[in-house]
Amino acid sequence: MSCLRCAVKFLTKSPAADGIIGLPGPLIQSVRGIKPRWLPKSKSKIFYVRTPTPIDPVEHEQLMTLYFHYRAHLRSIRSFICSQHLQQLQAAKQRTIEQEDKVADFKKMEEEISQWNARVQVVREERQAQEAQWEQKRVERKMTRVERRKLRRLEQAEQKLQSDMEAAPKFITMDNLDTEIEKLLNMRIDYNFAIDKQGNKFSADSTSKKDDAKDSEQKEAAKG
Amino acid sequence: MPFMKGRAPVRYTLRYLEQGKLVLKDNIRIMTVNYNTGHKPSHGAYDFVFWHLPQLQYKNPEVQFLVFRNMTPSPFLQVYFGDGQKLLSQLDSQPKNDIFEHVKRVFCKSDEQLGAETLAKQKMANPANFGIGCARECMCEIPGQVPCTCFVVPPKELRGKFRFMGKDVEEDS
Repeated sequence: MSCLRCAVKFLTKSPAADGIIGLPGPLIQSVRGIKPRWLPKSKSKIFYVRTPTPIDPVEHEQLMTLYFHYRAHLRSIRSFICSQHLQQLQAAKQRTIEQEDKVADFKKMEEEISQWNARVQVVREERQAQEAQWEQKRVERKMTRVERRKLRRLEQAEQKLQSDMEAAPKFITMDNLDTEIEKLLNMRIDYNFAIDKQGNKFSADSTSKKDDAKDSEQKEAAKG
Repeated sequence: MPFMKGRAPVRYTLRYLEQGKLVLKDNIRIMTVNYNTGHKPSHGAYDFVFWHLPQLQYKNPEVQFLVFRNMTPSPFLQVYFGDGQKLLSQLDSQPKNDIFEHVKRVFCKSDEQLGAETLAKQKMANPANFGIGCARECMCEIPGQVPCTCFVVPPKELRGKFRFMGKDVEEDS
């Protein structure tokens, strides 16, 4: 006799698709060689008691020891892997947090610096404007000074030109060269004179004249 | 330079260097300061470098510090980070103390952070400590100490079941 075994199999979601692919429904399969549930135990087996499998105590003890050892090893490996995995998770989480902190921290620094720079920029621009003003004034002063100097030099040049032009008739030319040479040759200069600290010249003639004048004055005074 | 010679030789004393309060953040790699000599708006930057650069270098041996003189129209401070980013602070006409406060607030670790780091360092460094994050998690890991009861059953004399509840050792056995 055949039996029908029903099972409901829920189709699992495909990782690629979001929705359910098919509807859940009963999967019916016929199973043979099994008694139906409502049939009682057969008469021949009503008082049947299964003889337990003989167990060798030494072997059993050995097997149990091995089994406990195996379980202990498995447990230790499992706990080791678990702890490793936890550590990795923790480290990854920590790294993410640190990265986020770093980004946030950098943003905060940028904001603070932009505020500071804006404040300093005002000071700097004021200072630069002031310096530019000073520089402009300095350049203006210098230009004025240069202009004044140019003017003065021009005036001096003009004066010199004027004086030269005035002196031009006295210049020695080829026409009056001989006359001038003759004049110089005939000119006698007496270098026999003394000089005092003020630069006054005392020639021999003037001193002798002075001495004569003094003597005559003294004689007149003696007569009087 | 010989000891206690030059201008303000107190800058080179160990006590002065240790008193520095500027500990830069971990991701800072280079710090440069640009200023001009004999330039009035650069006086603050010059004083900051004069007084605080030795302390900065002492407290941050992993960071490179550079000073550029007479290469800029106005003084500034630039910081380069490990990931290639950089930040620039203008220092024009700023007094030394303002620059100090600014650098401390923006580029340095906070006092709380420093305290926590010092504490963690002390905790990790002290071999007498035990617990999570230390060299050993439990006192029982040291030979000669009483082992934990999760590993070894303590002797009956140490167990309250037998000492206080009056269950004699011999009776139980």
